[in-house]
Amino acid sequence: MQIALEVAQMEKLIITVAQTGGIHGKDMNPALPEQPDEIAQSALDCYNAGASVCHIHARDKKGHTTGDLNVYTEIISKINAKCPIITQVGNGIGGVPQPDGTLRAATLEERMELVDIQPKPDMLTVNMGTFEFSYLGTFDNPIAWNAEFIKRSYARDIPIECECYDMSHIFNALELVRRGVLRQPVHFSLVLGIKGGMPFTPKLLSMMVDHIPDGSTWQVITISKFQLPATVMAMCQGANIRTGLEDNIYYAKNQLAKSNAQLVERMVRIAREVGREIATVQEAMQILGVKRN
Amino acid sequence: MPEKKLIITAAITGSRNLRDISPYIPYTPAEIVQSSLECWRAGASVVHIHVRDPQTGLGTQDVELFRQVVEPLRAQSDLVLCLTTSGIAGRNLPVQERLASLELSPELASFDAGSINLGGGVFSNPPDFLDLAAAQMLAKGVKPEIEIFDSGMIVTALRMRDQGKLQGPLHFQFVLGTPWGAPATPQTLLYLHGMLPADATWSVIGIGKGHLPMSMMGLIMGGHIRVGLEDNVYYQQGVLAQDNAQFVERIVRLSREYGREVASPQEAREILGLRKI
Repeated sequence: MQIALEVAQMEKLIITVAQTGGIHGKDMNPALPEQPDEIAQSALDCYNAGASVCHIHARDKKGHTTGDLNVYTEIISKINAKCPIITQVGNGIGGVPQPDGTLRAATLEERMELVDIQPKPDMLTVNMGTFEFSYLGTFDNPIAWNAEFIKRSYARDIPIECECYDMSHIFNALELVRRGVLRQPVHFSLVLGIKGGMPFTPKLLSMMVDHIPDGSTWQVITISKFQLPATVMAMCQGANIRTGLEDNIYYAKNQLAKSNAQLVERMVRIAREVGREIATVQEAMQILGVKRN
Repeated sequence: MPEKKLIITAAITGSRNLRDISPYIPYTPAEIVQSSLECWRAGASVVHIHVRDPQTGLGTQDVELFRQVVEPLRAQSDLVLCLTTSGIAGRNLPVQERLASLELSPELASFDAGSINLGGGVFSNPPDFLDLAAAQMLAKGVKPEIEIFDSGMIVTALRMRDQGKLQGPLHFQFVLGTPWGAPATPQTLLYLHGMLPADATWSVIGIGKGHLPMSMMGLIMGGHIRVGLEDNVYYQQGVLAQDNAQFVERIVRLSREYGREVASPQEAREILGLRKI
């Protein structure tokens, strides 16, 4: 991967906002949007702040993570009604609460249903390997299942973002390219700092970037205190970034973020200082291969 | 991670670029003093000083010209002064001329830890020069700022430390992106950084277009940052910087957004372990 040195010549910066996530809720930060109306309003605020992609997880009326397609339908419809931001659904769903209060991982059957969400989400994410997600449990992502998910997504003209939580996940994605399943350019998300996966250090991020083939796009996703260092590093290498309350409930140490938009606004300010222009939704659609019909 | 406060060094003028490259390069001692004070007010805690012949703009190691910069800065600010001993990189002045700036007993002085091709010439720093420079700095209590243009220079500095010629903890300045030196890439910086002793402090310069990427690596890795017209005449693509303070102000804004505090000159002295004055 060639490192772009001239800041001003870099691609425009795509900012993704992950607003809700599938693990923590309003108990951790009351600003975290859970219900479709809240999610849509927050998406509009983030769009106005400069985000071009909105990464979506769904909650039931109690705020519990759910794979209920009707909730996804409501969220996407409401976002689409407010602004043209790119809608992206994470195929992990998240941790689904059980009657005894513990979380269980969403099943592969529940997760496969996401390829049929109506209206069509602009993008879907696929997790490129199996690992112990945050030591909460095994996050199952078999390669044959991933291949099936990708084929069914492509059948609806939905492009894929590849979430790579460790080194081998990059190679799993490349294996799916070799098998003719995954299309190039591959859109990589390098996810660092989640326990059970690759930790974040500048060296480890640099090593992962070194193994991404030329012509791919990549963004970095990191959680909590790693978000700023990883994001700033990625911005200066021409990569894209993600922020939002799914990844980070704090704005600064011991200071909860007031909203998703507050986190987006900071990224926009930093990007402008380092000479990265912000991609519009139209520009992001072209870079990511999003088609609307 | 942002634990340590950030030292911003402003390299005011250097000795290579002339006003045909940028009309904003300070030449005279008064211009260098004024620009240094502007940087100090903007948040720089260290200034790296070269002087020039006021008429021609050519670099010189004339100690009287250094004095005309150093004395006003000492009187009007608490800046840490880092005086060059590189002279005119690539033109290789006689050794004693290069070390003339040490007469003014700066708290820091540059120490180029080896020879390298630089643009069309050779920047010559042979072992006997390094021995002499290190001995004079040690005798005067001047802390060497060890400039690293490539990995062999770190090997040289560590060997001199083991020989007792340099005293730890060492302070390094990575100079990346010079013509034919180590490139200003994250991989290069990460590799060089991995060679440093655990107690070392370090700062980074990205020359030209490497300026912002390397500055941001310094910010996130807990290192320090050097900016200024010596290293980079453009503020952004195609737009010349109009003064040195503009570069300092941008790094201060980025550092605030990032949540890392900027060190005062006094805090910089503590971080770098400079002699008490």
